Amino acid sequence: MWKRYFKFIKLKPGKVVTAQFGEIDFSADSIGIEIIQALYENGFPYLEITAEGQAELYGGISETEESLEIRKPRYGKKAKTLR
Amino acid sequence: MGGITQKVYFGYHADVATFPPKPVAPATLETAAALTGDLTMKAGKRMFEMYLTDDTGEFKIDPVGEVDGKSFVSHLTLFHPGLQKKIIGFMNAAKNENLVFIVVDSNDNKFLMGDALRPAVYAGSPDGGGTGKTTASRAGMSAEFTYKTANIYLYEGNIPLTEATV
Repeated sequence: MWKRYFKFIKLKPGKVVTAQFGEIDFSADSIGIEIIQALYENGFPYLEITAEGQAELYGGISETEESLEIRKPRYGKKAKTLR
Repeated sequence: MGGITQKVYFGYHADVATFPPKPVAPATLETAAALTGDLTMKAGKRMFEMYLTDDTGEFKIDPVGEVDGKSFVSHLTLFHPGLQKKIIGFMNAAKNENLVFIVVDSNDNKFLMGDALRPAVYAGSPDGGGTGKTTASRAGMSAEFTYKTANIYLYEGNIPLTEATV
């Protein structure tokens, strides 16, 4: 599920001991999106958001922002509830 | 709470791509104690985890040197139960290799043994290793690793246990 919204990068999918949540196996599909999103927002270096994740979790980006290449998450904005 | 956790993390010093930078002109004591960023590995390389018997591991910091020339030697001691291929292979590989360790204490402080200039090295087997004499003995291998450093730092990054691709 989370892999639709984020891409695991720089490492082969597998275990990382994260500073925030301890050991996580990123080859698994069953990791909660809240955990992945919290890691991403805290600057975890092995995650990249997908276009679908950007749109679903942060409401997409405006044309102005896109032209300025601002692609950071909008902190403080409540993420949509996932179904 | 004392002691270290039941896992330590290690890698070959030569396999490390980048070490987290040390604090420069830190404004507080807390920032003087912490490394910022992640230790990253070269492509195709990774860090490993090693199990140790609970209450057999210790991370110890010894100040050394003369006045105006003080530094530290940190020591990691541990006991790995059993004599499986994995621990024998580790001892064979580690005895003359330059290593890095990340040691996690019982309060979730992580200590990095190794930096861009100096590795952690195997120092011996403080409690020996082998089968023991009786059937009730605990077979296994003890090991000690040391790291000489000007300063002690906490590691606040992530630990990659899977191969780097870039």
